[in-house]
Amino acid sequence: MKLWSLKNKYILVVDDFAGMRTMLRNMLLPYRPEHIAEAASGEEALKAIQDYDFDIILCDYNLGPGKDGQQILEEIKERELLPYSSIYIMTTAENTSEMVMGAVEYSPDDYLSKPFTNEVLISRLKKLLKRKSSLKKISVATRQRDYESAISFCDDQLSGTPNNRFELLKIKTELLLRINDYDAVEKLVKPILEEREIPWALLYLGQTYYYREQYDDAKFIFEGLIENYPNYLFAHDWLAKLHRTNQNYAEAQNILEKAAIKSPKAIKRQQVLAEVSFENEDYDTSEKSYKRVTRTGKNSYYLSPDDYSGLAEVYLKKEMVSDALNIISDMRKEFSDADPLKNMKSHINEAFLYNDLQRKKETNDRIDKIMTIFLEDPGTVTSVDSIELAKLCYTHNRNDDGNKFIQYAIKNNHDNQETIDEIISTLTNTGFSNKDINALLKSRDEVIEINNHGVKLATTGKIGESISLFVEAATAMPENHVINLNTAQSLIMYMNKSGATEELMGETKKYLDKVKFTGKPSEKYKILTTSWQNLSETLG
Amino acid sequence: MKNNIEKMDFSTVLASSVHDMKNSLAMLLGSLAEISSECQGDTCSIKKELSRIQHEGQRVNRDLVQLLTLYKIDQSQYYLNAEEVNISDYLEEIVLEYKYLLNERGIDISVKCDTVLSGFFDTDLVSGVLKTIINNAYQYAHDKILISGESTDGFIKLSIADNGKGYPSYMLFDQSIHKTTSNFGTGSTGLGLYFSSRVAELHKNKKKCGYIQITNATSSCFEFKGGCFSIFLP
Repeated sequence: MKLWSLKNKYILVVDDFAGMRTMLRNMLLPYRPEHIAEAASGEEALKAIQDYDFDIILCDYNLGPGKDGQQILEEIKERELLPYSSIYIMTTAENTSEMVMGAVEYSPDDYLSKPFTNEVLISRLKKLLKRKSSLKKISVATRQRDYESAISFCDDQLSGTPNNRFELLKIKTELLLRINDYDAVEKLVKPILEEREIPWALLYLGQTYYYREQYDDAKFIFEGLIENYPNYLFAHDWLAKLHRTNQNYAEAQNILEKAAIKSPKAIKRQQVLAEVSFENEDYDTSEKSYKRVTRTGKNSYYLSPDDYSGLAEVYLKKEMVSDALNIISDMRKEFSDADPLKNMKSHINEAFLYNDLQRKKETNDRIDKIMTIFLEDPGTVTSVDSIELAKLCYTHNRNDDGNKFIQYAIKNNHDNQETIDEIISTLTNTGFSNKDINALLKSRDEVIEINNHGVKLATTGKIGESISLFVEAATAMPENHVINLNTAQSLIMYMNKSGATEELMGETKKYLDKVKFTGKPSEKYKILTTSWQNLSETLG
Repeated sequence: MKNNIEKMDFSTVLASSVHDMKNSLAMLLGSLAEISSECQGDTCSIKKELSRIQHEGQRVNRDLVQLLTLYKIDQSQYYLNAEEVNISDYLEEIVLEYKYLLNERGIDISVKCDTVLSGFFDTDLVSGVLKTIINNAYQYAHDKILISGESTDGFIKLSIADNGKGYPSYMLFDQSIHKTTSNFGTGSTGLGLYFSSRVAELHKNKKKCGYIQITNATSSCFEFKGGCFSIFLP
């Protein structure tokens, strides 16, 4: 008989208490894992996780000062630092239900309540490894955004007698929501609710009503959830969202304030509260919330330059100019070493704040800075920001710079009529003549030309040339779907002929990941991800 | 001088004390497990004492959890976290934790449950209940404990039976006795049953509410002549 073991497994043990780490190590060692790493803090843990793909992470919830176990989990999920097949177990001396109902965005695979015995730990690990492998097909398809296949895998399993029926139903509902199939969600969830009142099922039904703009029905459900499950904070978030959509800012603020008290560490909720109370013109609350975000969010993945500029705007409303200026300088300090996107965003926010303060010189200095970085690395500016930046440039009589941003936005969205219309109306409002506008819109034809040329190169066997042309185009217009897909396609064509390499596969994945969808992915995307997957199997 | 000490509310004090105590206990029990794994066979003279200490340590741990949970239920701070549970896996895991200790005392513990049976409940709370009851059975069983799970009348029924001398007749006579606090003087059984019925009551589904039942050697439990505890979860 083959004995169960942890052979080939990389394990990370995170606990601030050295004695506890040693104890866990001793529990695991007899099962001969490949390697057991240890971390004493959230920061150490994240560093280790960036360097290794661990199969199993055992992380204590309470890690003293700094990040806690939940924040580590959030960060690795948001940044996709961990492969889907890895197991994350939260060990804790607290009762776990509070954490679960604390409405966390991401749940660990399991909680283990301290003290636990060796036998319990091993039995959980066995079960989790088995469960992970039973959900493997669904997770792989989901990660490839092939939601329809993922749904049919769920159906396959549900047609048997799975002992995780509700888990599968929940996954299926989430997948249906991703492809915006609200009728199917309703049809699936209602019978579940006949059987048993489950909070997630109610929440998803409420969301379905929300998306269908049946606001009264959605409100009824969210309010019921809050009454019966006061700690189910997602229901608060959704009710607040609904009120915000209906411009009931005071109501939205009130609900979020209650939820925020119960989850003082939840940065995202605090950010929304800050925005909503600003919309509600309750600047004191907004100030307090933004301060809490910038304070508790230090070093957090969620902290953004927008939190600083939001606070600065509160100060402007309160006519506290020197506080606003202090925040601007805090923002600069906080994000100067940050990743290029956040760094750029802090410059952009600064430019707009100085503009609000009517400080011409500083505004122009910031625009200079932005231009320098933008020309070197256009990917640091989003199309949305580029349109706003164009407007700013035009008001400061910097038409050449403004045109550069406009052309960038056009190129990124050449087949997106909605954005093109928005750009045209921006230009019209700025006083551009039809002739000038049409001249700028010529950028669209340029994109079509480049694309056609690249496709022609690829189909006539000049794949190498096609790749370099598309890669260059994708750098100049990083949000353009068509270009990103064709870049990936030319790389895949190359690999189909000359064989896959780790490096090219990673490169290809980068372009595929840049393509964003609302709802269902396009056919072309699906075909390309399938080819990518087939190639990755040849790599082993 | 102004008094700047902010008064903490009692539940925070309680929660953080319990948290701290549980961490210490976790270490203590961990070390004990290591020591007792080296103390195998008949050559080890302190084996009996060791298992007694382990048993008492686990008891303190459970009492702490009960204390905190009951406090929270009373303050309406406890919110049920019901989830889908495979009953047979779940019971096996609970037994795993006790097998060694019980075997040391010469008690045989086993599980009887259909492997496809699943239920919907707060595992933290229900584990607290089952462990407390096993703990009692540890003291009263002659040499056998049987844990079983079955589905009956829209409820999941989890039972723990032993072949000891059974519950005293006054407890059986008035099944509501465990809902009052007057019985705590007799030791942990009273508190345990009170906790169990509070936990059962928290579980509701479609107008059905959970409850507990204690019997002696009746047909509703097993072949054993002894005490049988059941918790019914809707």
